[in-house]
Amino acid sequence: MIKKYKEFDWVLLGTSAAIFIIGLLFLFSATYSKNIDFIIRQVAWFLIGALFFIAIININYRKIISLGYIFYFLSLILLLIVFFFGSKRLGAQRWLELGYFNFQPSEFAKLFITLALIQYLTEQKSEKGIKNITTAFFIMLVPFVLILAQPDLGTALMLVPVFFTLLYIWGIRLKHLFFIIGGGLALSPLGWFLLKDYQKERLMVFMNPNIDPLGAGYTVIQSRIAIGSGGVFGKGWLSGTQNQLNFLTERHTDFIFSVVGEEWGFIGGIILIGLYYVLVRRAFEIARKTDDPCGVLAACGMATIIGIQVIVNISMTMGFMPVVGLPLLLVSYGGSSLLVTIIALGLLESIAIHR
Amino acid sequence: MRTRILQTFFTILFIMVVIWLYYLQIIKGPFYDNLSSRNSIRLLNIAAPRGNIYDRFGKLVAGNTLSFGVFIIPQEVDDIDAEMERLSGILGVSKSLLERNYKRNRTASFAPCELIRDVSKKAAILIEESRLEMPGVIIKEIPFRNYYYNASFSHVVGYIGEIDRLELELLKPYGYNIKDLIGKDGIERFCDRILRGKNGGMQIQVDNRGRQVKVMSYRRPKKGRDVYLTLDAGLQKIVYDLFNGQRGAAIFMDPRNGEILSLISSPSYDPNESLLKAMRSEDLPLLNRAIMGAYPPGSIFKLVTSIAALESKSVRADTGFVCTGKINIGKDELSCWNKDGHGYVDMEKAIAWSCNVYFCHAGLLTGADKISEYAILFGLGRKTGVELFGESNGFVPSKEWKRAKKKEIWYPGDTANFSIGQGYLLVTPLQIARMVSSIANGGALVEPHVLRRAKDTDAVNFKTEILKVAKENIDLVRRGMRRVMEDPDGTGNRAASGIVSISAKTGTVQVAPGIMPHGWFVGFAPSENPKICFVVFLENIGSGGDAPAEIAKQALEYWFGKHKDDKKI
Repeated sequence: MIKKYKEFDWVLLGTSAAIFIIGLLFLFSATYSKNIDFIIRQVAWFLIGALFFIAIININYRKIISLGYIFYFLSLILLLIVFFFGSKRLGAQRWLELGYFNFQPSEFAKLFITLALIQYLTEQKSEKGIKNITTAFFIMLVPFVLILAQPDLGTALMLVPVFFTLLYIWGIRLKHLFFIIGGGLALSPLGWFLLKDYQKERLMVFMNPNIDPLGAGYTVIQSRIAIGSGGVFGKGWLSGTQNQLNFLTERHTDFIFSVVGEEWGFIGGIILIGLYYVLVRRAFEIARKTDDPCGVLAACGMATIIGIQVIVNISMTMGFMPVVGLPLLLVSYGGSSLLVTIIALGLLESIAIHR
Repeated sequence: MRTRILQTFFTILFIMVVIWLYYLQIIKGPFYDNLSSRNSIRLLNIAAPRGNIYDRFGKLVAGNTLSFGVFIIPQEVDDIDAEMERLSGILGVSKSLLERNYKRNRTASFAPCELIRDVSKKAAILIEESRLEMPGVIIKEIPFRNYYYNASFSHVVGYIGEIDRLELELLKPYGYNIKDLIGKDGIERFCDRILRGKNGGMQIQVDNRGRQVKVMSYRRPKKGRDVYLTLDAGLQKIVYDLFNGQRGAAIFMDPRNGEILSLISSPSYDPNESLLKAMRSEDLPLLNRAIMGAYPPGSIFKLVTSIAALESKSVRADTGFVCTGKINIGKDELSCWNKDGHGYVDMEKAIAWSCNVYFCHAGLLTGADKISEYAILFGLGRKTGVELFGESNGFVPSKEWKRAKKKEIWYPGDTANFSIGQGYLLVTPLQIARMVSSIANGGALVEPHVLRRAKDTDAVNFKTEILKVAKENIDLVRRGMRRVMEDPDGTGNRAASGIVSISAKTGTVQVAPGIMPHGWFVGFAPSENPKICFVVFLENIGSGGDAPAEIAKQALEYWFGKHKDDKKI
């Protein structure tokens, strides 16, 4: 038992804890003037997450991944329930209400689909042809469409890099990979017709935020002003004028990085980004230390989920990417996202311990 | 291997994010910082009270009075409609007026917006008492300019109004802003930079809906500095009242230093009221006749002709001419006002009786050029430089001028007319006051002025110009002027005063056949050591020795009655 935990990655845990604590500081800064409930709920979700974390690191990750298909069908069912019965918020039908907590199935679906893909690709180790790739594609496509329909563009789009990363690590032939990417790019204009109006608008606004400075562009413009005005050292914790005077919208969820940038400036931004980078790097190191192909796939999958979300979210608050509605891991307010992230971190620790 | 490539790929993406962050926060940081402050900081102007204007004895002429205004702070209002309704009931004004003012005056949700001003004290108290039921409604005292002497001072003091586009363009570098009140005429305009003070302001931090969060900084408005006039409010008011609305102008001035004690132009306008009525009036109350009006001087110009004749040695004190009631000059015949003739007259008598024939002879001997020269020497034909706007140059004719402009030669008849102040010559009452002063003070041309002190300490210094005129010549003219009042046949004899000895000269200017002539009455008192000189001018009044002389006499009696023990005056 003791020997088993010798491989536990303390750096991964310490970095995650540091990010979460910084996250709480800024969640407080963004919400304390209104309501202290956000902090309480976030901590409550964290404690639930901690239980999951302890459970997962004591289970061999192979067992969890071998349940991938079950999780997959579970998430399809949840997505369908949301599709028919979910509660609407901010124009999207994403949430299931479970008493005190609201629960966002698409966040879980993101992880479960990844697990299912890992399980499938692990089983296909001898044959790596078009047939397997097509099957994997359909495994991803069905929930992708359901999530897109909610609509939750950010989460849906997250599945795409995860899918490619897993194929790449699995050992897809580069010929096939480039063919799929090329075909995808060629067909992407068709995707425009699948987007909801507000999503199209967001893309248009991303191209030029000034076309609608008081509507869709407002969030991005104000967020950019907040981050830019932070300068080198920031305006100080709890002293960001953009934040405290309500110029920033969605600042406790997707746009929380604007608060960090405004109040802690470039220094604070670098620290937070650096911590995320350590997290991603640790995940890859775990992958490299593992001989088991399933463990490698799982570790790289988790690294991608974490890395892509962080990069897309921060770029979006700076106005360098379209606003797609992705939370900043461990920092943004939101129980589902927090729980899923902690599970992913637990899975990484499990790989480190049980490889 | 592939893991490493993927890791490198992520490293590159993270570095790109950091570069973007660097660009946004370090390179564009100052730009966004500015945007962020503009987002959240608003400036609120607090007008500074204007400085007061006092007369020479410290009587308040223009100052600020407080009136009650009803204001509303938009961010504190719950139900604007209901509050307007209620206010309309209390104040007895229509709701639509309040709404119109609200729309027009509203600037920011934290800034008090004026709904109506000048409400009664009773209404103000009533509103103040029901503040709890009308959140956001406040009573504020607003200063407004009050001119305590109404119409009598307006041509000296002027008035204020909202800055116009042209003024704003010119004065922006001096800190003037849109909607500022600015002096439009008179001393209000001349001393605007002294009187206006320095506006205060507040920097207010607002939230995304423009509501006040806190006051970041506050600068107290600095009251403008006071200005002291040389005028005496009492004399000013009496002279204005004596005019009783008749068209004309009057100046009372200290001949020793050019301090104007009273300057009126009648009719006048009340700067406390709207100027629209004044603008429409046919009597042109906005015209400052004392400095803008250019009139023929008539017989009062004989004072200049006298000096010119004596100085050029064309006549001597004992030179005499016989007046038969008329004189022939070439083909023209010029008559004296006394059809029977004055008989043998020397200069002293000629001034006392205002004999046209004598001055035609004297003028013809002197020549038009010499008369022009002395007219200009005594300040005619050029601005006096008083601190008032729109001063006229007047006009002194000359032979060259007539040749160049009228394409005609100068006839001896022109010289004759010139000598008795008729013809092309035009003067302003203030120029005459200056000319008379230099006779009163023995030959010094003063700078007329209305400003005594611009602050509590700084006296305003004016220079006087000593004229090269022989003292005995001036004394001779003064003897003549004294006889105007004291000789039984003197043209001003009826206005002689028992209180003070006056020296004067009358003038009656023929305007056109069938129209009453303009009347002048100019001079100084006391005859020895003059302390005050005066010009009274009335349009279409008849003889200068009648109504104008009567006004001058009463004003002088008031002045010397009041100040007879006052050594300083």
